[in-house]
Amino acid sequence: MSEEYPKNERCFALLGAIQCFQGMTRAQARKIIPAYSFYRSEETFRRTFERDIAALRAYGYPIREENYTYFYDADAAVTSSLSSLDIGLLASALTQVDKGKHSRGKTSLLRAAKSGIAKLLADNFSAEHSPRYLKTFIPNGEEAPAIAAALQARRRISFEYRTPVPRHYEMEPSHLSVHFGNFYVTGWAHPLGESVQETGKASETVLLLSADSRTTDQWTASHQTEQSGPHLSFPEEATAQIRAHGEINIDLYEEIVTSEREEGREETDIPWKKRTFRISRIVSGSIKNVGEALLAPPDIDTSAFLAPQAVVAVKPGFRAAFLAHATPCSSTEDTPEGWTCVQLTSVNRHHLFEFLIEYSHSVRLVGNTGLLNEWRTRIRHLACLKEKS
Amino acid sequence: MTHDVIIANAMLVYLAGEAEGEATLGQLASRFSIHWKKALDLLWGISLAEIEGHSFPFDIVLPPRPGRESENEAPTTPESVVRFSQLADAHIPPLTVILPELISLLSLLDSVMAVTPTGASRDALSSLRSKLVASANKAGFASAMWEEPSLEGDESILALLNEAAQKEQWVTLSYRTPDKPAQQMEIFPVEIRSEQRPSLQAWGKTGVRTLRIDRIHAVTLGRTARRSEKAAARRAIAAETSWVPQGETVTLLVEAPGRWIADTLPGVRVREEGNLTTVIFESRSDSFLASLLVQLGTSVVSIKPTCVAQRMRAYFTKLAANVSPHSSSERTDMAL
Repeated sequence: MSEEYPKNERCFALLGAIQCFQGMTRAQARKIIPAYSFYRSEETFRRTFERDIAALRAYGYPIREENYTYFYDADAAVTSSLSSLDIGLLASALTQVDKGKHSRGKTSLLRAAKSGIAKLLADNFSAEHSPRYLKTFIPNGEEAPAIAAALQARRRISFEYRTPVPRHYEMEPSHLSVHFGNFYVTGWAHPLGESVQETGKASETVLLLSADSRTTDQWTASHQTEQSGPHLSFPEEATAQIRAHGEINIDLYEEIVTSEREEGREETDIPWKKRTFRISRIVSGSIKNVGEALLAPPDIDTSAFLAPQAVVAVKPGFRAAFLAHATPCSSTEDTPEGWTCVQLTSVNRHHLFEFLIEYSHSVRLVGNTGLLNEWRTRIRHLACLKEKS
Repeated sequence: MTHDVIIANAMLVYLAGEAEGEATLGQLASRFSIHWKKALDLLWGISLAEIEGHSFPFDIVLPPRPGRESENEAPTTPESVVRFSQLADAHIPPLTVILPELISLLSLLDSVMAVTPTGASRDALSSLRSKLVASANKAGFASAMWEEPSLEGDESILALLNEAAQKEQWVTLSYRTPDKPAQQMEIFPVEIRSEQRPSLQAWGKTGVRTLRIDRIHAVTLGRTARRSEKAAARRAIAAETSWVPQGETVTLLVEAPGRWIADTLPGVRVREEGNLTTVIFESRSDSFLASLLVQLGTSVVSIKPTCVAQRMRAYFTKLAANVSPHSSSERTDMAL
């Protein structure tokens, strides 16, 4: 039946109607859009309509629902004044995204990038191309667009986090970041225990671009990609402050539950903590909207990923690309005789640790104190390593 | 799912902005990176969309679909023209970039910047990034933006490799890995890959080589590659299967904070029990294993087989002797 009204035609009519009437209910859509009045079965119409709304949201059209009425949310736009050169650069970078196994689990990110480019190309065009020999990559984190949509709409969300014992969290996302080829999200969060579930909070559909807004095909695709194998790369990951279950508790002690409970807005005793999650571990399709975000965003600290400063003693005559951006600094008391010291700023912790191991005869970490302590702890722990019993 | 609706919508916005409201199918195809027949098909789809009692605020005249031309119509080709006219006081559905699209584009841009040395190209990328971030900040989403990645490694090496790849020239270089003496090699660079660790995919006498850029030294540009060499190199790289590590089989037991290894090491076998994860993989050298272990740090519980555990213990015991001593106040806390 739908062959007579192709999906694009239906979606465009729906989009036009929502904008034209500045809000439209499902019943109105059935009445005024022939592509919907065509369906005899109410159930088939309803399913098709919901899939089309979901598709429009997935295309990046900010469709908002209020009291069963659908609106075009003009406030959701991020306008950007880009030149032809800019758009050409972005478009060509997209064409060079590695399409191999590295792109698995990035369906929604690639789709978002494509729709963004298509929109930008409407106003501007350039034949500018990035060099063809460059292969670009998009970070891991299939649910990053859904998280960004929640962040944009200031929503509180819940999701399932992939751990040996799967856990559910409730979170107010406030900060996105990219480290080690992965998207991370930071915000106030707490694990959902029985006490929370007993409150009977109903989950709603995520406002803009949500996992719930997927079609069956997308659900299948996302579950398939979730099972994809590890990508080819040298192991790098923040572990400095990683605690239980893989999430990074950047600040373990900041808790705001007391003030929230006093205001009567929280129904759980489980404290909220500032947490950072690796988005690729959020189970695809598990994100639910649980209401409006109520808490002031926490301060952001990237020290779990980047060491603000490292002082390295270097043997005379030793050179390495890793030290290309280092600046000379004064020696510390731990500097071996005749060696010179250099300082690195905002250095990737794991790249630094790897470098120190690989060239241990020629370089030595001598500062700063916090980083040095972490280094000592690691080395001494590994020096006492046992064989598996 | 494709993003056909957006492309169709974008074509309308583009046509509406053109002085004459005209474009050939070929022009539309080139601009939106789709086939001209697809462009026509999408526009036909839009032109047929209807809302009862309401007309869309534009009129669009399209050539017939290929194969459906009547006898007195010219065949539809990429040169066929699409004519668009917009009705007064009406608007085309607006196209607005939203945050999920912006973060995807930003991450893509960072990937290019990670392998672009300082110069005009990097300046253009950096300027573009600033504009994207500024627009997000202006819309109130500063917290969703992250910092520009810094370039690691020697930019002069990266610049030479970019130049060689662009001009399709052979290079001679020195490649230094921690466990081997530096190797001199002559290779033809084919791809610069912006992964977590930028790498060069190249072809030479020994076939395809994937080299970490931060381990490349002393690059000298050589002669321009012959056509047959370029073709052979691209064929070889296209046929290259994923690298699978080979070496000694090692089993690590790690606590939850070290579970990332299961997601990042190629060819790893994983078993999870509670908060402990067992990972089995092939280690190509002690140097590789040691650098992996130091990143896992205190999350490593045990290692087997015994001979590997002994070697690693000896390696780190020796290293511990070289690590700067603790101050007296720290010594008690740090004792293991």
